[in-house]
Amino acid sequence: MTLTCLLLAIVVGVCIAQLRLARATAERAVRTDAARTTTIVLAGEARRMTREDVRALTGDSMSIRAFRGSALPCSTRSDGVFVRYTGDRLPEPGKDSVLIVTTAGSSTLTLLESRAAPAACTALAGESIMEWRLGESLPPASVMMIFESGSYHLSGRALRYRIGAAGRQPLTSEGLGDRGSRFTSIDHHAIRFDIAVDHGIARYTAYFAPPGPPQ
Amino acid sequence: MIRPLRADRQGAALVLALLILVILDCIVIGALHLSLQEHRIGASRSMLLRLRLDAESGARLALGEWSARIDTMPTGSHYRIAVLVDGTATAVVHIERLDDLLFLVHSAAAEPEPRAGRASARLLITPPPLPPGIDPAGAPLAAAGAVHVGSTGALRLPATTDCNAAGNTTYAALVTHPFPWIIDAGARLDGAQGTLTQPSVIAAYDRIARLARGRTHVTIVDGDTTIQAGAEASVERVARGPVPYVLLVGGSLRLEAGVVLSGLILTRGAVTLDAGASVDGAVHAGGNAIIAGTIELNPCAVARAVDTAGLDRPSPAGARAWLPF
Repeated sequence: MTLTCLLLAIVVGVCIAQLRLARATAERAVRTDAARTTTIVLAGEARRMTREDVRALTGDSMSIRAFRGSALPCSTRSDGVFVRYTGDRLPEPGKDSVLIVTTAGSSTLTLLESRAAPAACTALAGESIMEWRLGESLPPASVMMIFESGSYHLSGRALRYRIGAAGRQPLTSEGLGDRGSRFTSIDHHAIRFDIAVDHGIARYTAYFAPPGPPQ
Repeated sequence: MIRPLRADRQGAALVLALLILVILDCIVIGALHLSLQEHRIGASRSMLLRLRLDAESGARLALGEWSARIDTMPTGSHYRIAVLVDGTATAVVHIERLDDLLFLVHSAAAEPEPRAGRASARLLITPPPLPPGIDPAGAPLAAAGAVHVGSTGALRLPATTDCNAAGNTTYAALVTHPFPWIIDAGARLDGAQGTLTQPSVIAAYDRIARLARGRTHVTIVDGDTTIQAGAEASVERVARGPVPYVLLVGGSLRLEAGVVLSGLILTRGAVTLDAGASVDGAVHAGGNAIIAGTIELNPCAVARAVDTAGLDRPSPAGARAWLPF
């Protein structure tokens, strides 16, 4: 009888300890997942940009020109251009802008209209043929990149993304440390940010698009 | 008195002990599962990074495969190369001509089958300013117009064959017939006249000037220019620096007495070397050439000038050369 009670007490104790351990493990997994997602998202976004695409950087937010696709002209019309498009999503006229890149520099245009035109040109794997109306003619030897104006926020214990004037949508669970998770600095090579982890602050660097190969 | 053993023993101790063991096993298995998950996530990220770096390396390495075939392919056409990166992995590279002076290098790296991970990199490049297959050091002087070598003039060949990839040249000048070839008594010519064949450096002037603008150790002057000994103007001072230089002149060029230049000189118009002026390298004139000074062919100086300026290599097309998609 005594032994039974003793073992019963041990079982109860082990169960309670296991519950606590499971809860702590789950919370740590949530924090780890949030930190990992934050680093992956910000590093991936930075790799698409140059320093000029970061419009503003404060401790808890970063306003950027977020690229969502690139297009190579393959044919022209009187009032438009056919392009081979590759990107995260299809372009959205009225929301997206177009960055025209040439060897001499870059300029921006508004995307007035976009629709699929699969028969206009030959697409390679992963490309879609689209017809765009831009309102202006393209300079020769140009490449186009679709971007939206957005901002990333390290607030409310999560990484959040905001497009234009819309609300901040969480990209991670609320597992980041509120105190200590912030954007710290920016230079021509990278953005630096801190994420509060269990026992301190982890410092990360998200590098911009690599410079071209040396001449 | 000996008590017999009871067959129907009662109690829950064993069951409880087994239950404890089961619970402890669950804890261990759970922890092991989490560790394995973290390991798999780390391995996956490591492989993705490796593939991305392989793809970017493939694009960079493909630039070393530039050839006349790629340089002259029509707009819209593709050229496929398999590039070995890091000793074992292979990246498949497609080079596509988008425009007269714009190419797209698309490199893709993939995991070995049956795994399906892949990454790609796209790089916009401009072709080499100097078209492949053209020798900028074929003779001390190449001219598309008349050539007049004065009594104090000299067209000299190098003493050694170092750096002469085209072999031991024997021509003092390459000229375009039927323009006149006038040699005054007392002029020193180390070889005969040869024929300026196409394609030539002179014919590629517009392309070289357009693509080389802004590069290191390249000076481009639009219009006529005269270089004087002791002059403090920036073009003259830089062009006379210790490193062999590339000088492009959009009009006519005159070198006065005492001027010594080293490297590759290319003019769209005429070239005049006064007595006492000298060039250590090679001169290409799009017009007439009046030589009272000395041009000594130095293939090494020309090669260094071309290499330093990157005239023989493709170049990234601007600050956004790497396309993000």
